[in-house]
Amino acid sequence: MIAANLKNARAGVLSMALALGQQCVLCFQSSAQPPASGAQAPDVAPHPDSAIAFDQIDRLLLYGQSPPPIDSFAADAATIASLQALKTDVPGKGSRGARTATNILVSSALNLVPIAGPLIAGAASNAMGAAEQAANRHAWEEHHAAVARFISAGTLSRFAFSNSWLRCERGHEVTIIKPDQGLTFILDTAKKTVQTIDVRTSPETIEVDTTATLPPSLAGKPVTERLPDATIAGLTVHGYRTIGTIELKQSLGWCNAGPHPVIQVEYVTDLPDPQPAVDLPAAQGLADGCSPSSAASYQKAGLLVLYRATTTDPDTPKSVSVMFERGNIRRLNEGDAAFFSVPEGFSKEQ
Amino acid sequence: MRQKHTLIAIVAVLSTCPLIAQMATWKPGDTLIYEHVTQTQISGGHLPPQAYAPQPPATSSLRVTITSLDPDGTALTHVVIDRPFPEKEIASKLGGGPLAAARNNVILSSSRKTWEEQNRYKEFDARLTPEGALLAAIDNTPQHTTEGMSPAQLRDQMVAEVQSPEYQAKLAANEFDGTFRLPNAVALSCGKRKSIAPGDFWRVTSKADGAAYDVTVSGKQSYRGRDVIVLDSKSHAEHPNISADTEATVYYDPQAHLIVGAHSVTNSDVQATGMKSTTTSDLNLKQ
Repeated sequence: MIAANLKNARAGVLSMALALGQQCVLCFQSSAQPPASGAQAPDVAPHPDSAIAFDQIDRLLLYGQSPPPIDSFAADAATIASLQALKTDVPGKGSRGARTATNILVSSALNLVPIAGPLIAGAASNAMGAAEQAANRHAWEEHHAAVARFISAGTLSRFAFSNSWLRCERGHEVTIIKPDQGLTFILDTAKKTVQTIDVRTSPETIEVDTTATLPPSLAGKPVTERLPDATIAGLTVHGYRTIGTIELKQSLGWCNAGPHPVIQVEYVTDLPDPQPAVDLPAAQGLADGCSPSSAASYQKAGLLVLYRATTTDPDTPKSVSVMFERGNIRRLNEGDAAFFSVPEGFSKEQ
Repeated sequence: MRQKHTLIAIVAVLSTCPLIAQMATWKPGDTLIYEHVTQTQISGGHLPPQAYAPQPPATSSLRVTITSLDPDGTALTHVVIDRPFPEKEIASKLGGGPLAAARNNVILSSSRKTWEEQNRYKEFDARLTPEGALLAAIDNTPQHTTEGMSPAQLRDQMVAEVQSPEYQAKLAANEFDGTFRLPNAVALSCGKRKSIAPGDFWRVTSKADGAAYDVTVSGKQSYRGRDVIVLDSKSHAEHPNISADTEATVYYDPQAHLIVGAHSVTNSDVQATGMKSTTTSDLNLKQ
């Protein structure tokens, strides 16, 4: 049972990771997969003084779409709320497939665009008869447009941090992590079920990377300029725009090998970030437009970012922007303790 | 205060000693040679009868030459895969009779030429990590756009691509990656353990593909002249139409941080076609 729980947790981590960005990945890795004894496990404990909650929208903008202006969180959240879930024929078995169908859909869609999607669609239509082609092409185009709208609108997640505890909510899935107790709870709010992972009794799980990924490098020195201070969600933020070019020796995420001009805009508050600061090489931060690395600030270490958009190959048809924006930022108080508990009425997932 | 700093510095140096010793082990020009023997037997499904005939094992020699060293202890390597022409196996299937020798020579010569053409360009770069994992750098994304191409243009491009040295090298790198995937995962997990003792059990998850391996230390022994730990691994993969179970034994030298050998048996079941297959793989460090 423990092994099955870990397996399911892992599936949830992977599927959510693609859509939620690195912050959720880091948080989940901290306890859904217990660190190896003696491993150089990342220090993922939230900032001890930060009892804070915020909502986050992660977006992938394709085909030259520009990132939205800052402080448009409310409008973007309303757009997400207005979209209906996409229908899909994603193969799956039993409840596990159904439980993560939406995540699989979004993950699949992200995997298909922007480079492979048209290619696969083209290869499929070439294989069909002429009569079938017209009808199917129309269906494909509609499907791709729907997927693009869905991805472009983004996904909304709700985070809360308190006393090293984390709560992450996305759709019907809520994950509560209490590192000091070695406990992780994964709730399905639609089915009212909960999986509990106790790292003290689970077998040690070690994550390894068996790929020889060549890290991105910089072509020339990036230039960062200060942007005028602004206001997001009623908070003063400090803006930065970095322009540079990354060089990829092999494909990374949505980017092929080769040089890629990048524009990265970040707005950061004076509030402490509940996640630890990161010290990434500049090239890796600028490669967020290909494959996001972190949601921590690249400009003001340790402070909370409210907006970051990284655009790769700007002003070209290949342009891709990966961005996140945050809103509903609020301090937590003692009355929010229930946030980090499993609500009554939830049964153990079989 | 100074004494405290000195003590900290000594502790820091001591704690990194194993890594430094490992880093100093390799130098450019050093070579590792692995032999890989694999054999697949299929059953079920609706394939032509000859597909079910016992296949001879395929043997490859994997030569890994250190080209340079990274400061973090990773060795950059160049890998060349050599697959000897299986002359005996092919000759044993040729018929006898009058004039057979001359005819068989022609067939063998032609087969050899085709074999050698198919096995050219099997070389690529890889990294040998401080834990002994051999990781090939693979980029499988399409390098050409096919948008707007007619089926004929698409076919021509595909034919040209698969005949290119780059494509053949990519195939070889993928083959190498598949051969080492399981022992690499086990070796990397060993590198993250504080201690390893018979009876220890842990689970390894692969960041790349989400695969999970349940690893048990079954003992210590001498294997191919080295003191190794023996690690048993079980894994299960489930895809929409295919499921596969793999049981493996990995022989790992914890002192030299090297994969010395790996034996695995994978049973696959393609539900859509009813075909089942059993693949046996033996990987051994020869030098």
